[in-house]
Amino acid sequence: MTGRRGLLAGLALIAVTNGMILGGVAWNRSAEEARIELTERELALPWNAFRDDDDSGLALRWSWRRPRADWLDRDKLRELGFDVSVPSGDPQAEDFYAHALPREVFMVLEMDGEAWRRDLADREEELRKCMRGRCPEEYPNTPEEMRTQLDQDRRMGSRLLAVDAGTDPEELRRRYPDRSRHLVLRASVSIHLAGQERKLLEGRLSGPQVGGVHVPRSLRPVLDEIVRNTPQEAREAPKAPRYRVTVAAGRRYEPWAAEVERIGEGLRTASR
Amino acid sequence: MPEPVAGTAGSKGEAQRRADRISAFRAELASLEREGVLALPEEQRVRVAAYHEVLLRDLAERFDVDVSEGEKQLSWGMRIASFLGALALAASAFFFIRRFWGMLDTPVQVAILAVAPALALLGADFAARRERSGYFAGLIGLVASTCFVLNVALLGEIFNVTPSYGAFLAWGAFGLILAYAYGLRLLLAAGLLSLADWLSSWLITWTGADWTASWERPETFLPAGLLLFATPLLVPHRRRADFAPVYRALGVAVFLFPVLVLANWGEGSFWRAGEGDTIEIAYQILGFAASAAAIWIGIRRGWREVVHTGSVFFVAFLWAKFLDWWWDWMPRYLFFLIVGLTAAAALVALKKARSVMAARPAGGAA
Repeated sequence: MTGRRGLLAGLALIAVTNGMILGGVAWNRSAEEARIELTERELALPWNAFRDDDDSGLALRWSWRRPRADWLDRDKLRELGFDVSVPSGDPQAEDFYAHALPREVFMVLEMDGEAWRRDLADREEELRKCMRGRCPEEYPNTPEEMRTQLDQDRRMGSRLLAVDAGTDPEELRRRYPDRSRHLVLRASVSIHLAGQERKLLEGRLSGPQVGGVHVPRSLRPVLDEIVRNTPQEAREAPKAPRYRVTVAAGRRYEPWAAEVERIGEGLRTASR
Repeated sequence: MPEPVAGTAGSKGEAQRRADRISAFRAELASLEREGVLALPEEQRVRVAAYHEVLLRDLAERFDVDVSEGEKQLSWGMRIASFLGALALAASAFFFIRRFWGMLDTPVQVAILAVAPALALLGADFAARRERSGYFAGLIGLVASTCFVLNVALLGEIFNVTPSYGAFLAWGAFGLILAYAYGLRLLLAAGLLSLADWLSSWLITWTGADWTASWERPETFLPAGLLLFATPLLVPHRRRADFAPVYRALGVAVFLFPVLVLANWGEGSFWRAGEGDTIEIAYQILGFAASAAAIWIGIRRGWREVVHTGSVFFVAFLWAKFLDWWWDWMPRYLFFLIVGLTAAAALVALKKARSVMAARPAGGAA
């Protein structure tokens, strides 16, 4: 390949690659698959927001959790494509499931819904049991610790819970039609044996595959002001959420920040 | 007097080898004459000297080759300086974009990310035309590659695009385009490794697994290693003869590295027949056999890079085995004594191999 041909091929490759990425973005954003309101509880400021001078970009990081009543069981794992033919009690089971590779799936995140309320109710019940002397073995395992954590979660805990997963996002959307409460995103799921005797087969979700939600400059003023005005001691653990983010997701189940709004202290909004 | 045939040198590597042969011929002829073994008639001496002068001038003009030892040493210095400079410039481009891109609006970010690699590519092309040694083209080419990696990675970040192994294909192709256009072996190696990663990720998706799991199954890299090794056999590199060794050395390394990993971590294998130990033993045998085969083929074909890479892996397999057998119970001084003695034994073996290679005609089969 001569220099001239190489130059043309290189320029063509740059153009085609950028065209494909931007075309994919345009296709994704040409229709809103979901539009959901989250707060700092569900989309937190990144760890480096206050201290990394070398990175001026800002991507809010997902904060979500799995409900305590777990649905990612053997049947669901089979549905997701895992081979679950070896019984959990089999001597080969640990080796067999440790060998399974993670699979790409779509997960459904529910915002401030039934799963969150049930989760809180379960924990309140656990607290009551603990006050009667039947505390769990794992932390938190004293009434004081449990109450503190419950209060903190009521104020700042994420209300975004993973409630389902599947390989067909359209089927998931049919099952969860509320586009302002349920977000379908790409994730990854792995399989493992849990429990003290490692006999309980369960899946572990990780994701979303899109690591964070990038905040464009036009939406930054609200967040920049928060970063600037937050005293040192309040940076790690705010007492209440300080901003609200409207997140949209498109045809390719890729999200973007559509609006950022200040909570309290006189509302300020930035949108695109 | 016949016209010099520098036109047969297709690449800078070949031209440099020809210049080196002329320099060696001149030195040897001077020694033979001094020792009274040979005395060329004056007319022939003048003809040969004039022929070489014209040839060297032509090679220097077309390929910027080094015609003296001093120039050669300076060239090495320049090569090291251009490599370090390229790394520093690439890091500078990375940190510059990261530091300021958050302050820019999205269309400006997109424009900068797309235009930066194109500008750097134009710069590399300009440098290649102005300066035949290729140092500046190599330096700017590495910056162009870094800009292109940033282009794809940051566009993905800005628009929250799901990460995909397709990025490795684009990066690999870009590295290869720059390498073939301007004769840059470093970018050839980087591009080939990127393509190996792409192939491995693509293969793992055939099992239904997430593409990011490719490193959990090192066997997915074995086909890439074989393909790299076979490429110069299937596609002759006449114009870029110095690229064939890069393919072969990387081919051996990309094949043997996963074998080395699996020889010590059987759980990472696709193979489920028997216990982890059985798999590890199988890969240890394969590792020893394949690295010994690489040394043997390298000696037979005169491929020094294959001999060297095979030797490194053979010793690595051997030391890994020693560690496995003896580390827990053997006194440390004895363990390291044995390791040192095996290194000495390897030296003796390689010296023998070198003498076999020296007996063969230089260059060997391409």
